[in-house]
Amino acid sequence: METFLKIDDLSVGYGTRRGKVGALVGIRLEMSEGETLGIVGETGCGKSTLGKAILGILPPLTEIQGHIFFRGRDLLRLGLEEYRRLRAKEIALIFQDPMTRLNPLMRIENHFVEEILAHESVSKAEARSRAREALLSMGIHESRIRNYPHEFSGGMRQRIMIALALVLKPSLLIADEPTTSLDVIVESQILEILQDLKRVYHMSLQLITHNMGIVAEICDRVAVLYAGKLVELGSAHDVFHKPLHPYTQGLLASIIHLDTKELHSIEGSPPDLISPPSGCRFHPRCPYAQQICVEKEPPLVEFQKGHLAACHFGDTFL
Amino acid sequence: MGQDIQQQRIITKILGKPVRYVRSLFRPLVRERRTLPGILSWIGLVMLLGFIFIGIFAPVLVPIQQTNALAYPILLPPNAQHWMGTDGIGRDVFARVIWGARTSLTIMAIGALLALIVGFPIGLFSGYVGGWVDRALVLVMDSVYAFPGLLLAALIAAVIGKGIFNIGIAITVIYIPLYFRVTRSQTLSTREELYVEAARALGARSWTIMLRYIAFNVVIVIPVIFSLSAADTILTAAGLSYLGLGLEIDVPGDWGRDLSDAQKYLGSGIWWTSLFPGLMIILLTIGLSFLGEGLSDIINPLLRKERS
Repeated sequence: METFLKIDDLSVGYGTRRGKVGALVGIRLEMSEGETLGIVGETGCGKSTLGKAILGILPPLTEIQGHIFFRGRDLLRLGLEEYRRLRAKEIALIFQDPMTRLNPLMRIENHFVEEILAHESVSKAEARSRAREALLSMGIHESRIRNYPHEFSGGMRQRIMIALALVLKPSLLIADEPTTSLDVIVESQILEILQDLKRVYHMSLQLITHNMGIVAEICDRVAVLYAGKLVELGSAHDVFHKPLHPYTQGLLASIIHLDTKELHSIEGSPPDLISPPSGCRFHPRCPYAQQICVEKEPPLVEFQKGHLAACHFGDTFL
Repeated sequence: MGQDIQQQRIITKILGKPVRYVRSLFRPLVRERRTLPGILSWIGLVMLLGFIFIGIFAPVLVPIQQTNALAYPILLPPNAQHWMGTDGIGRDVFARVIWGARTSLTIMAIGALLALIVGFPIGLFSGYVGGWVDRALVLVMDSVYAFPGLLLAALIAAVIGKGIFNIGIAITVIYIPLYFRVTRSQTLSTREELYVEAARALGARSWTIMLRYIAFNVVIVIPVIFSLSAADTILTAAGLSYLGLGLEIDVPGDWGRDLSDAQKYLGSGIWWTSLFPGLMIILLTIGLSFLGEGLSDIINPLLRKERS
């Protein structure tokens, strides 16, 4: 059986005046249908780049290598029009900061109508009624459908964005920090909506976040990115209980609990991706770093069934 | 009966969009009517509308015969019958001034509108596509822009000949780069807006993105440059006529040429033939500038606020 989503040796480089930024390097990742995969890591580690790469909306002149297979088709070799048809119809993306993601001059209704007509040949009236349904399912009353984006709050706009992403019933939803700019109550509403979607439509979800709590709550598996590389991959249970990579351990230790007395943080700051550190990219910040970590790049090794990590000393943490 | 309603509906459907767009343009003007930029805009707008009224109704206001040579005794000072006197070849100055508004506004409409029609889409395309197409277009436009405007217009006018339409075209060429530059720079910043990326993520077509997401958000800067460049158009047209490169001699009103003709009488104390055409040029230009500057002070903060 072909894999639902298979990312094979994906590398993405942004050209800058100072040189090429390796935003993603040799990412290998698989996702099966109906699964919820969490992608975690700190700011600038390539999380959002991964989501945009899958959808093919990276800025022009970005260097992309490798393969992204979606239901057997290599997305990176699709024609422009073919790729366009796939967006929102099969793979949809919801972004962070919903405040600026809607065209300020367009009524909500027209956002939907335009999207539906760009993908399906249905009548305008039909598109309108589907828009109304989609909004209702997100708890927004249909009387507001002819309003403009500025007439909605942040949480409502994010629900509108979700409705937009889901109106064509895609089989994969990529949520790029969907709750980052929202307050906690709205955040829990949005997460509930996402979980409902998983249950009802059996939708596959890729949740990009830096919030470990959210991951623990709704993800089946977790991929940890550090400085553009995949450093750990495994079931949420395994990764949370037995993190094999020192970076993941640091991330988990930084979670604040009610009984936290002292804030724990990972020493140092993320590396410069134009000239990344030699060997293991985490070695300058790693408390266990040895000579080998400076010299040799650790491969991604399966230490346990379905639990992979890129650390020379992964087995000592087992 | 039913057909009437049907027709009514079709008409509102066709007219609805432009009417709504125009109304949305006026909303900030109404809101800001008590601030200085608002007052300036309103003064400018009223002046412009006044000139447009005069221009359209010139044939009703003054018979065209009064603008002909030798219609009256020459060089009469202003009096009850000839409010602004008569000029060196016996034409009524008031009639010339009124008909001149018609001429100037026609040239302005052709010049500024053509420049808008050509410059806006090219700027939009150039900014959206980017890359070497953009660079080439910028190079061409900048070369035109660097050329002194009046000189270029004079050159083109000399090549393509006289006439209202030709002068309009000559002037258009100067102002295309202005529209191009403003549209392009606005497009460059709008292109990076997050809602444009979001539209792409939802599978919008390139054309849709360019027209619905970018063009509509860029077009807001157009009224400002339109009124400012229109003011400039009037001056350039008058300048060309003054240099004798403008209109045919039988045009019923031409402020620039009248001014140029009047020059030789100034030394003998005959002021009325120069004052009135000159005053009209100044008034129309001031009106348009008021409107342009006022609008720019109203619209630009709106844009800034929306972006932050």
